[in-house]
Amino acid sequence: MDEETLQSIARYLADSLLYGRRYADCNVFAHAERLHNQLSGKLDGYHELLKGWDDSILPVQPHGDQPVPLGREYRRVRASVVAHILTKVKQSAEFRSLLCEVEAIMQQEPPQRIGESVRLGELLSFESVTEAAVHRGGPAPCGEVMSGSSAAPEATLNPPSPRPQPSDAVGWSWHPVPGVESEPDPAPEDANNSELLPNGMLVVGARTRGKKHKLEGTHCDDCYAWGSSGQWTIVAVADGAGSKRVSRVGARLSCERAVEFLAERLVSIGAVELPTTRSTWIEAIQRDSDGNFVSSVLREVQSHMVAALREGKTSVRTAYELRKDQGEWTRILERELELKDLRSTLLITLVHPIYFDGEERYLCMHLQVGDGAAVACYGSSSAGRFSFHFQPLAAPDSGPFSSETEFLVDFEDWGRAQMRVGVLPAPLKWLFCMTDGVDDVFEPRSGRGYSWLLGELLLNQVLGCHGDDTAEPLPELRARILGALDSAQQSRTVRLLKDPEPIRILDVGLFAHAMQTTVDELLADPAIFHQSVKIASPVCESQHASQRLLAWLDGKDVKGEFDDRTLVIVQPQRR
Amino acid sequence: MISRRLPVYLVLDTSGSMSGAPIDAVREGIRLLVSQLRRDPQALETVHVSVITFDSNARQVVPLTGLESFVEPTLNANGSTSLGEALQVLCRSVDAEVRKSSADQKGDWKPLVFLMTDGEPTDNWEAAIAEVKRRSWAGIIACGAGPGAKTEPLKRITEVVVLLHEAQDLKTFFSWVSSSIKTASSSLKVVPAAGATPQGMSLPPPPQGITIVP
Repeated sequence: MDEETLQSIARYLADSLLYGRRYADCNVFAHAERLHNQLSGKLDGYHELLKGWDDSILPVQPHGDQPVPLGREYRRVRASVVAHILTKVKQSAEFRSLLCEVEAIMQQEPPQRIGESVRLGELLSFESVTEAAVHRGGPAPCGEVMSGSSAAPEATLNPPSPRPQPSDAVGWSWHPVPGVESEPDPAPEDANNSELLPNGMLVVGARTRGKKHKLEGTHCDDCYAWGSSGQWTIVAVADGAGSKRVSRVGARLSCERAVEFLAERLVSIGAVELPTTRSTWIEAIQRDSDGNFVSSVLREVQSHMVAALREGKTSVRTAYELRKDQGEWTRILERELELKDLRSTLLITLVHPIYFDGEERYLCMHLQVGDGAAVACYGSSSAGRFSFHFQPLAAPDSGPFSSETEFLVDFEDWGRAQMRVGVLPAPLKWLFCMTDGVDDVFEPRSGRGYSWLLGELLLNQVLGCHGDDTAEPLPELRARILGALDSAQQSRTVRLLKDPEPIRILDVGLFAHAMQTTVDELLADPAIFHQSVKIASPVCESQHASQRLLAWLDGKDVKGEFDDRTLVIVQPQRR
Repeated sequence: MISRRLPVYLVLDTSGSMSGAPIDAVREGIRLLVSQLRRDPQALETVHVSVITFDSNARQVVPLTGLESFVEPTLNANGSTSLGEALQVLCRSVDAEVRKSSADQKGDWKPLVFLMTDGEPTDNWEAAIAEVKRRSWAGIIACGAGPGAKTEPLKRITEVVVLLHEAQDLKTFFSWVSSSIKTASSSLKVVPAAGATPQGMSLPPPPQGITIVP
């Protein structure tokens, strides 16, 4: 079979898939659906042929009378499906013979002849249908063709647009948080801020609701807080239990109290007491059989961190008792308020600059109850190549392995509280503290990895947003980058956000794929990546990093992820 | 990229007694179920459905498939009622298709099973029960459809057994299945991931025509 025939058969299959499968029940394309059903009925390998193809790149269309993508967007998507089919065909003789069977079907039922109500020759192939519609800017010719059928299709097609429009994610939409008249303990639906701490650390943080709470019109259950005490930087993030309507109160109080408490206690512990050489550090982080640090200063910090958890727990309990007595929540929930209604996780991270055999390093100490993560990023460069390493600061306890997250209000086993302490082998570049809504997307078991998190923050100009004096790229490279950025643009954003203006979110995985490389490679090669970032947004807008962080957290759509999102980024400035 | 799926297995009796109105109702029911789930955005992103049918033999007619790709299977009613074989096919399918959580990969949510029969099992079904009990499920809901259904075997498989008064009202059953799946998909963190310890799931109240067998 020659290449051209292969291509046309693969396109035929792709059209049936896209219209028949993706847009099932859409009356206008019932004939394509019929073809799809026919193929899947006749061809044993049909499903197999399509297995492994990443559905998520397709814009999802609601069914019925919603606009369908056309022109450039449709062709781009179809090209990807065709490529997938052809790859599979090249891999196996079984799939090749499948295509022959499809060819036979195509000859009996060429696109024009599908469906009894189709008049011969009137229905153009799908490609020209979309083209014709684009030029006319009106209803599809399929509309006329289907007039013989019982249901008159109501689909209309969009007028052509200069770039692919973000299409609506089916069913998802944004609703405001409940007003104070319907629920006490009002809170803003999102937050973002940044601060240059007196100790020289730059902290940027934001939180936003996930798809689920936006759809339901319920509150954000995440919270974050930070503070400092001398050279100590203190960060806390918390994630209230999704099923509990008051959990945001628990999250906020535990975060804020933990930070406040630690800021008071750590005043008396300064750099002069910390080790300065490799050997004294190794000695200092040894623990006894109870899990306590051998070094008295680290032991003291450790006990303050555990006490901070306790303090957080106490302040949540106090809040619970107040509200129980007051009765308003009991009235709203139509049952007694319980302590577990304020359940949340809590993650506390401390950072302190230290010296390690004369080199500047950072001490990180981390303690958490429940899921979420703190990840330290350190980097090195050699021969013009960067390499970034990501050190998760949490020990995997219950979190990743069972979905039964622990909650602070239930936590009793203080001795077991997972504490990790470490000195990084290279200068700290960033510390990322996040709730599960972000961690779940990037942790290695998701198939991505934390380098994707960094790559995405860089690509979307949340980090590294400043003037750049890199030279102009060569035209071919520039064209390649432009094309890749085009494919990298997330296609569905509109209805997920409060602001109906679509926000451009670039997916670093798609970008790397379009550049025919990996995310790690991209990060390693500053030239390409900096060029890309510069081209992506030639002028860094006057938005603060925290606003860009909020926009990214708010707009990034990941299939299967519905949770509230919080990310706090700590960035040491030059010492 | 790996995201957690909510696997749903429909195990359906297609024996001779189902022919006529009952099997029509099943076809229509599946169609409605899928179409309703497709309108729920959270279900659309997580729910994956598989269909296993059983009569004189049992087979998986639709492998675990995402809602967007799901195509209703052709169903014909003919033969006896091999419930045991159906349970074996169910277990084998789950073993092959449902991802378990591990250090390297995110597991799927535990599978939900909706089992429907209109009569009495005709094969050695008791042996298969141990296989079912050895695996972990988010929930197994068994439905006896119509007056010919025997609920004792179903009670051996699961605690949650419902009785549908008329086999042709199977559409009602499927509508309830759809609500149950939506409830499950909207409270995913309460449904443990495959490999974790069990936890009960809450179901919406059954509609008219369906009663819970105590």
